[in-house]
Amino acid sequence: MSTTTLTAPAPSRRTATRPHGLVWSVLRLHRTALWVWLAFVVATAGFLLWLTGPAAHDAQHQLETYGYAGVLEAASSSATLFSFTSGAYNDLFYDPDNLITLGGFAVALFAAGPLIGRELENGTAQLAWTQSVSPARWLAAKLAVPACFLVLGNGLLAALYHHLWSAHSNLLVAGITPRALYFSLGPATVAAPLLGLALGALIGLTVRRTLPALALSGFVYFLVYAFRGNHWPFQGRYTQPVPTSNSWAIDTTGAKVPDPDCYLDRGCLASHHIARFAREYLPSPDYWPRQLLETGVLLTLTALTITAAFTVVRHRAA
Amino acid sequence: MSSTSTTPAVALAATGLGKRYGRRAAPALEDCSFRLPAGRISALVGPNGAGKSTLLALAAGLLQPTAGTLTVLGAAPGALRDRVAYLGQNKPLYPQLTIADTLRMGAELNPARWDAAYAARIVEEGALRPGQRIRGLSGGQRTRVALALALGKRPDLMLLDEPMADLDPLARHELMGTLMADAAERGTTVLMSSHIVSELADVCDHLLLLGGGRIRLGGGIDDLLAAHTLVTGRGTAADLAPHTVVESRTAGRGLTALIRREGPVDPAWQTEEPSLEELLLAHLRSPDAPALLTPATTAAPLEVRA
Repeated sequence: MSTTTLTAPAPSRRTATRPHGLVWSVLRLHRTALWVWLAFVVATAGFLLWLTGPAAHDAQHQLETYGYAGVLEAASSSATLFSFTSGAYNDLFYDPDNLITLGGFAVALFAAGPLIGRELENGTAQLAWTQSVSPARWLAAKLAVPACFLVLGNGLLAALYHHLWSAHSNLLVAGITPRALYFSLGPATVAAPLLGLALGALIGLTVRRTLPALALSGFVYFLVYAFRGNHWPFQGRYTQPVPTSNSWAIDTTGAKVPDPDCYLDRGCLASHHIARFAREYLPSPDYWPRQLLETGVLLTLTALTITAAFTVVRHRAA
Repeated sequence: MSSTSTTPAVALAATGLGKRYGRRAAPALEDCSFRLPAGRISALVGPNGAGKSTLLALAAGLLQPTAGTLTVLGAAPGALRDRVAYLGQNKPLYPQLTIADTLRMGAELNPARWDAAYAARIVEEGALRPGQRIRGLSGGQRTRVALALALGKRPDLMLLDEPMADLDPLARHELMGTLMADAAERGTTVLMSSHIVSELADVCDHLLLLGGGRIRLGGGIDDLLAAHTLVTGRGTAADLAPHTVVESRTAGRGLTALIRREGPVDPAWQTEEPSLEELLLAHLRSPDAPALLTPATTAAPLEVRA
């Protein structure tokens, strides 16, 4: 029985390219969640590219033919009960935003449940803590690995969305919705799910049971979502300023002329010698101050939440 | 044996150790003071709720004590995680992993000490395939994998909470053999809680009896057995003075008692050395008997620590 099996240490896997140690363990344990996240990012990115490219064709044609009236016409042509299923470009344009928001909720729930809460409920966290890994390092890996994927994924989506806004925001019906989207897209789009991750982890650590942690985390992230964009105290009583949109027509001589207000009357357009229309949203000087302030608030809250999570872990285990 | 040369002579030392879950709850451990000499295979015994699991979790660095101090291999609990193995009572494992991935995790999380061949052998002895998922294993098979994970890191101190409870007798015998061979070969200190006294008598050479959150009995099993005598005869418990009567029962017209001898026993009494089971049962049935710790197991008088 006691033959000394002094086998040589297992061949080192520590090549530069392959993850090892805690990173490997986090990736392996949450492999399914990782694949779901990648699928989500790929699908949403594809959606955004489609909106940037072929999907905009019809609405663009309407705008060029009739001006803003064409935009209104395109938006209302296929209105249904649920705007996100209408298929009108003006509605489709906001769907990636809804998807990214839902993604943030999913992150908060994932962190509270499978990532942290379930491990504490089943005792598997203690399995990790009794290998050569301290609870603090365990938590650090549990937060850092998903955070990397979140920043990369949401960063890509926010960049594509920003590109889509530059290309085709002129096809949107003016009002609160384009304004809210304009001011919410940016670094804050990346920071909000990070706060969801941190909040979920803290809730999982304190509640230590999967189902209550899921419920609480969903509620708390709803509060974050409700504050986002419009309702932070630092934004004051008033909502964002309306970003200026310009509309003009170009007549057959190539000169820039004001919109003749023909609506959808082709005869009227012909009598004004209108060749095509153009429209654009001008960047608002309020964008960066608001966006950076919101990002700062979100990241500060994230840092505070993570500090609290580490304090909880240190307090519980030696 | 170079691996044990750095091991201090004391594996575990507790002074006034206490743990209370919540302010209003009764303490799970209270004023617990003892030393566990290195290299011993110690049985941690006690009734349900005596604080066995709490003591093991404290030593593994999974909980913070609410009172007193505990040193593990000469350091704070949790400071030497790579040298301490812990097997929890419900043997938590990740159900979605395969056995191979579980062992790979052991290798990844214990880079300095992992013995892959040894861990794989423990699993193979149970006729388990590396590709099987933990989810589909029986309780006993899970225990085997959990034990492979605990032993694969080649610890200097093993903390095992009811390690063999759901193994069949053959597997229990086999795994105990593996465990003890390893401990004997490498001088590993083992502290294991169990309810199966026969199992303990075969493999353990040291005993810690917990009751009501305190250490009731501690020391080498031979020393503890030698300190006690089972006496039968006519008389009352009072006649047994100056010996300490742990437990006495009337049997017919006579009396059977377990005593701690203070000097020679009156030859009028029939004497015999108690079995481990008799010793444990007598102490479990009489919670008020005074505690006994042999000198090597008694906590050192407040040592000055930096």
